[in-house]
Amino acid sequence: MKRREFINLSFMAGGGLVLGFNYSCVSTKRDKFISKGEKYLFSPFIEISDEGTITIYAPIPELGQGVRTALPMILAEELDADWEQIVVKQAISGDQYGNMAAAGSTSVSRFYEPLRKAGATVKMMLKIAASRHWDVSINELKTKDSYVINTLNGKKLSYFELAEAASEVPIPETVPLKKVSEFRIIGKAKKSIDLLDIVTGKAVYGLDATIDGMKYVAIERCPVRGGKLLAFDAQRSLTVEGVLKVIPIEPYRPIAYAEILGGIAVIANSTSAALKGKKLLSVDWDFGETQKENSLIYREIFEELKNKPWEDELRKTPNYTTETKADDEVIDFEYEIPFWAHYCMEPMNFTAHFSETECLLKGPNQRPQLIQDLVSQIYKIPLEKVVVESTLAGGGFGRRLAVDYALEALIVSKESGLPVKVIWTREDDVMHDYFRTISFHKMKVGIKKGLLNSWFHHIMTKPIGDGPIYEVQGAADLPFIIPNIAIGYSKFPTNIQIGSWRSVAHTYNSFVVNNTITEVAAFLNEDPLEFYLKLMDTKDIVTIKLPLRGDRGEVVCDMRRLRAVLVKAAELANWNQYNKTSNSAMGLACAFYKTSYAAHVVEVEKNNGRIKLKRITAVLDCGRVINPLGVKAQMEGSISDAITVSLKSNITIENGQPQEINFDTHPVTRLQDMPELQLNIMDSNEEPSGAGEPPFPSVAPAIANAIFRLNGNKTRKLPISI
Amino acid sequence: MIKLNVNNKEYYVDVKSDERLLWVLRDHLDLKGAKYGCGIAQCGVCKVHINGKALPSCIIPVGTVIGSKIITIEGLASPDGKLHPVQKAWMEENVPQCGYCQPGQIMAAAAFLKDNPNPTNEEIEGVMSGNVCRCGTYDRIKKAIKILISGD
Repeated sequence: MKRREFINLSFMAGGGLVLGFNYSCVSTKRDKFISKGEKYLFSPFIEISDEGTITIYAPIPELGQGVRTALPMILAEELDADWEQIVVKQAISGDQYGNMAAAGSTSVSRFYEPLRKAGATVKMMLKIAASRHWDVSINELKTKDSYVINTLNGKKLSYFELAEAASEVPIPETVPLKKVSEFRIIGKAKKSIDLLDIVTGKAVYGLDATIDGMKYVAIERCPVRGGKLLAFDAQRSLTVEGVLKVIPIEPYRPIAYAEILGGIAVIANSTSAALKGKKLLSVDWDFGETQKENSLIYREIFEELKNKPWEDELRKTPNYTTETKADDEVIDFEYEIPFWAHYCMEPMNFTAHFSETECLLKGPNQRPQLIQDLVSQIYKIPLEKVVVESTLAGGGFGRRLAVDYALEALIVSKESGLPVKVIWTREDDVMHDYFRTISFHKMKVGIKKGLLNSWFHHIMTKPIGDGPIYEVQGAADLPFIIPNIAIGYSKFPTNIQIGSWRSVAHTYNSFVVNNTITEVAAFLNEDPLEFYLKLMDTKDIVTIKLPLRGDRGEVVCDMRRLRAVLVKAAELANWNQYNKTSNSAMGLACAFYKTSYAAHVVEVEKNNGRIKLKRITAVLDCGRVINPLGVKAQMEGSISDAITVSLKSNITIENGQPQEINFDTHPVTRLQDMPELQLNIMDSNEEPSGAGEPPFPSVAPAIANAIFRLNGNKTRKLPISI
Repeated sequence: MIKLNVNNKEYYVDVKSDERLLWVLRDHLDLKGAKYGCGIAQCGVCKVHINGKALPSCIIPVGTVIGSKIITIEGLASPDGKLHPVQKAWMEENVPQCGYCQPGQIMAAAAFLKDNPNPTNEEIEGVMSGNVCRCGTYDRIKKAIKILISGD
């Protein structure tokens, strides 16, 4: 299997591989895209009809991160298309698009060059067609708003009129790309391409997708991971009007990110009947070993692990000794950052139809090609006979990088012989989530002559793969000047299912690192802003080598950019002029994620004994911005997410079962919780980098720092108790 | 057979009276604008108007709304296709991200502003906090409502 990402299945959270991406255009008129011979497919990404539409195929699924708008903007820019006329369609899973995964905040950075080239190439083909038509040199032609203009006489030909002739032009090998100063779409605020459909209720999410003749399915799965089915009785379920059949589904785990838990599937004529039938099932489970897991056990495991040497050493400066006797004073920190659930607004679901020769799957997902690859491999069906259609997704946040629920739906279709839509209730969705791992941290910070002299950090988590890869990001890559550093990792044993969650390990590591630094600043009686600036290397670029595979073995932090976002946030928030009172305070934090940099300043105030977030200032440097509206939305979303996990909710485990499985026990940020926001995107000529995850890591520690500066509350566990 | 008045049309559906309105709308009437999010009236993505009030259709037995005037997001615009002012304001502020919760948000805002065209900030926060958005579009929801209040 040489395709794309299949070979890389065990480390899924971060950057996507781009394997075998054919950037060139294919001007062949492919039958399946042609209706009555009037549409011309110029590349996998662009189709121009002679009736006046330019269709851009969006390669990456939309989950609210804005890719269905941002990626077409890049292509339309170089094509010189009229943005208002662009139609965006979701691409069906296929090799021609490269890596289609929505992962690691890499969509824009991966597709920036390919989409520019695709747009510029088609524009050139249209110009060549026009130059032949008018018999003038290409140099005399301009393009604007989907027209080729003859500058000699002002005559115009639309792209639609030229489409057929252009489709027969040989594909140019190299084409010039625009200068930044020529951009008319990139960098401009563009509203969501799906806006009208969404506000009128016409937008199609997974839950709304249909396949002819489909039945509705609800599945009872074991509430404890790894439990086994002993017996079940479906008699009462089968009495529900509309329930057609009840079938057991075997557990099956082809890969870690597609673990089919197995269970009892109730197949019905309607969602109501399936849900009612599910409730009436009587099932006996053997919960197995995992039922012994609970919060107290985790604490005991930590107490044991923290006193042992770490399993993997990540960094150690030459003179570091575990007992840094050289320090005048050593401050100990122990943190527990709990499991977090994704709580996607749209619970998991998928619609599927299995046959021995071809399969159709529709639904909300972050990795259409993984679904396609798995189905093709497991059932020995050629890739092109496995059609995966990505619907809009009601959120993703990393949950839909796992494709268990898609494969499960196909299995139910196969076992029942029916096209099906499998619907997860909210409780199913949370109970069987791929949580952000619980993590424990032991830290020791040594002070010598009023300076931070030593830094010891032992990270304990359940890894996504078989060892530390993602798990140490945001900690092992500490870019600050500290003379003695020792950082190591140990696996935390738990059988709870874990996976990727918006910014992955930065969620916990950036929290503990920032929280520790700001507390040390207070210990030394220093202003945290000044303290951070002192810790930032005078070098422009800091390169950290880590004993990790691939490009994770070298982390580069541009200290100029990190300093700049922090200074900007402080300036916008009036940090230096701010007068702390007994009822209000500000806190701050900063972080880098790949090549994006963010800083936050949080202001809290106390009213009648209640602490409230008053204002948050957020600054993000994500390189060149494609759509400022999309980037700002991600900055706001990060703040909303961070408020939930730092002040409101987490997942606790009792008897091996997640406890907070619906919104009544797991409060999330609501409109009344949102503080006043001040957002700033740095102007940058750097390559575009990510915006979905990078604005998240520094929010929660800035909140904790503000509360600490208000009332001295030292956070050692999330959510913060206030 | 149950007779329902939805979006000013009469429908006859063959369902039990204890079935939840949400699934009747979605599975039987093919009106899928109202979404499923929690099933326990906590998140608001399923809100529709019942006699002018925005209510969570996920817990409402269909038998209790026989004879009620039900409006879903699909019926919010006027019959000639002219968008409701709330829909227009949502577009103006580019409120949605993933968009899944927005039909519920819009229905909540539309019913609320009809009853209370000049709400205070506290009233806006109180009512609109009945709807969850996991993308965090709250700031733009507030701005869109402000547009409607100021009549811009």
